[in-house]
Amino acid sequence: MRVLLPTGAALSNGISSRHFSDGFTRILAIVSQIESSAVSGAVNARDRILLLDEIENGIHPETLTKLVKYLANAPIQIVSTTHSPLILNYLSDPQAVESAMVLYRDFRGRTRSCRYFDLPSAKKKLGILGPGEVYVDTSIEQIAHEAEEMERGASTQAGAVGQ
Amino acid sequence: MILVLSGEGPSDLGARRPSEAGWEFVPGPMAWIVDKLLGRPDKLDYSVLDGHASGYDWVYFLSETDLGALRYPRPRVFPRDQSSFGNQYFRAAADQLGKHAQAVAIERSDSVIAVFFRDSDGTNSAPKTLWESKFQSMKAGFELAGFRSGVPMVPRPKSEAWMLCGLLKSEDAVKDCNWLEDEPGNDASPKSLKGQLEKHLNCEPTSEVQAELVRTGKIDPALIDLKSFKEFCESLDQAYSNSAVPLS
Repeated sequence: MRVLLPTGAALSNGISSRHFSDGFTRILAIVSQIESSAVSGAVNARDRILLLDEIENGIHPETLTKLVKYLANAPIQIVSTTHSPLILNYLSDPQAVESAMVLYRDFRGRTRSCRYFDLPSAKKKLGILGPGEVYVDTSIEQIAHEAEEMERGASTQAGAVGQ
Repeated sequence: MILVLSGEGPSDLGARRPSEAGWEFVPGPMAWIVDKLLGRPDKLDYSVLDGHASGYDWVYFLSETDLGALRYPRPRVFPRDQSSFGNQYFRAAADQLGKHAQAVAIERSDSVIAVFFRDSDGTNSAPKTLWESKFQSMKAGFELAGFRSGVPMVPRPKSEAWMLCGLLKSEDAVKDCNWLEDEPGNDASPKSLKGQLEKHLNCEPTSEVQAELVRTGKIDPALIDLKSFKEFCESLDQAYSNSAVPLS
């Protein structure tokens, strides 16, 4: 199944999608994609992945909390990028620990990733602060530095085990 | 008087260790400094730590993990500006510590002073305003909790600067030691304060060694004249005044 959103022609109820807000159009597209992916085709729903870029754009914070809860319980896998502390704050602490990844650039210029709440400074603050509050209370430079330190530590350990 | 203490480890306010009775609090050098200042004749005129060791239940100690596990209600808010980082954490943590101290005061029907210890910073690259913002964030957190006897204890750059200053002044070796606040706090630095303290003592400055220096009076806290220490003393004096200690 595919939902098409005509931008010019009127829908059957007489309202063109051109009259929808950006946020509403995005939510409609996301929900339609997820629900149709969950029921169609031979591929298992859990093996399907939907990639979303900066999900918070154009969506009111009140609506965003409902969308995040919906995505957290979606029948397919969701990977979304965000710069919004609200998105993180709408996750429970265990959900944030499990699912929040940070992308950073290492000293060689490579893009790397790690679990955000594996980083010592972020882990220490969680609980006292909500996940989104930790995010705005920690500088991205510090995060990149810590992530790199952690990666170096892990590779040193792996090297020692391999010897 | 009851002390509610939260620090980073054994070399500052102290730590808990297993004992026959379950757990016991082992005071660190910073706890002894608090105790000596409060124990003066014009204040308590007794030692809270000695009393606690004799069986009075006068000290509540919270490790970083204990502090993080407190769940007193608090508003979830985002900062209004983002000129510095880490302040929201210290504000929120002081709020939780203040609320916990208030709960202890009610439970024990006694005066309570809460001391929140954190080193200012360990690196030279940190902004010079870091000490100020950390100290003020803690004060703001205690105010948020409505607790008037909360004390931020934030050595700049770390507690070894206070210890070294106390030693040098006690030995009459220097006139002032303000330069210590600009020394590197990073233990890996060749000029690290920990290294300087070790060199001066001619032995490893373990938590026990440092605690004994203050407990036995070899370091007199009254002689430490660093700005970060004076701010701590003023805050402790204010907390003592606000704690309304009974006369008997």
